[in-house]
Amino acid sequence: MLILVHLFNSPEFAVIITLMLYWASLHIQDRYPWANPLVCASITLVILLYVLHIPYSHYRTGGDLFKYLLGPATVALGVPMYKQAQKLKGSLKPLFLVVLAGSIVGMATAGLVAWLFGAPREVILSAIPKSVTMPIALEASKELHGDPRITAALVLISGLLGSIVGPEVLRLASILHEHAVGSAIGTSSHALGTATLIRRSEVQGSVSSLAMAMAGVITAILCSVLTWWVH
Amino acid sequence: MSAQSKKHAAVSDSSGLSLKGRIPGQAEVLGFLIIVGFELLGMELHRVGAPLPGGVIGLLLFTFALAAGLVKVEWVEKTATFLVRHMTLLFIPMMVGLPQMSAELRAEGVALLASSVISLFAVLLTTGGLAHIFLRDAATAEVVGKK
Repeated sequence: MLILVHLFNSPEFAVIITLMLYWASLHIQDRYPWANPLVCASITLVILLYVLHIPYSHYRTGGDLFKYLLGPATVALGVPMYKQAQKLKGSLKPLFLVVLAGSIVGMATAGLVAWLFGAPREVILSAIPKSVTMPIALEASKELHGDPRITAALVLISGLLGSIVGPEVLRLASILHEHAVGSAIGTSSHALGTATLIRRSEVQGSVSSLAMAMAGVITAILCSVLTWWVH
Repeated sequence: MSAQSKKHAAVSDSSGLSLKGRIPGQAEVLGFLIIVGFELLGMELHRVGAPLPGGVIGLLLFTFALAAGLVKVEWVEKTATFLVRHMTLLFIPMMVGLPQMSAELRAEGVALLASSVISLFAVLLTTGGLAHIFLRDAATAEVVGKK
């Protein structure tokens, strides 16, 4: 028994269990496309840690391996950004302006609504960069002196909600053009939304991944300006 | 280009710095090296005072290097595609950590939920609407969901 406890609390176990659940959730999504792999894997993992009496602090020692890779993953976004920019050369400038407008609206509404609901300053600052891809949002949140953990939660909510209802909302607003759908989802719900679009249409997916990278860079720059202005 | 000159080019390429990777898996290693290298460069520039997050500086420099041809796409493509495709996996430990901070989240729950939902709709509709107006002429793509 003691051996098992020791095993469950090792960082290797955390890595293995995370990989296994991710792998299984990809299979589940293959059969049921609506089943989001992030939600499936995370909920199962939380339950499993609870059942096996593994404290989160022990799980973290292994889980941090994945967290570290978020940095290289941010830089790696340069490849889709470059490749899609080559493909969409003709509409690069209007796309940039559209994503810029969307990013400003996103930052402004997120901060404003949190403020209207009486959230403290730190929470408002944490909400501002929530529309962009996780690693950039976390860094922007730190820059703004927000709480990166709150930002992480909001980034996940935006991404999940956007990937589930986003395409439907756009359809109801009769926004059907492939480039319009791609840029809207990429700007509002980053990698999670993009992953949903890639399965629907290649054009939408590639516009979305370009919009996501653009929105990330634009938001990071605007947050730096905001930081300098606020602090 | 004739088959012979193509072959010749390939030979001269691999006789130099064999960046394309004659050894299986070499391209992935090189890709990882380059990507982490740019991340480090970004972090260092941030540390000495560049006003952007390190990862974003790395991303920008990396993209410029690709556009300028300093870094060839085929050197980094495999590693980058892997990292980007499985970004979801990297979020899992964070999701698992959310119950740990449920008290903080609940305290501002309404504000946070309202902020993220309203902002999501605002971004979707402004970006989508503007793109619908301005990207239609620029793009050659077809309209989906024709009824």
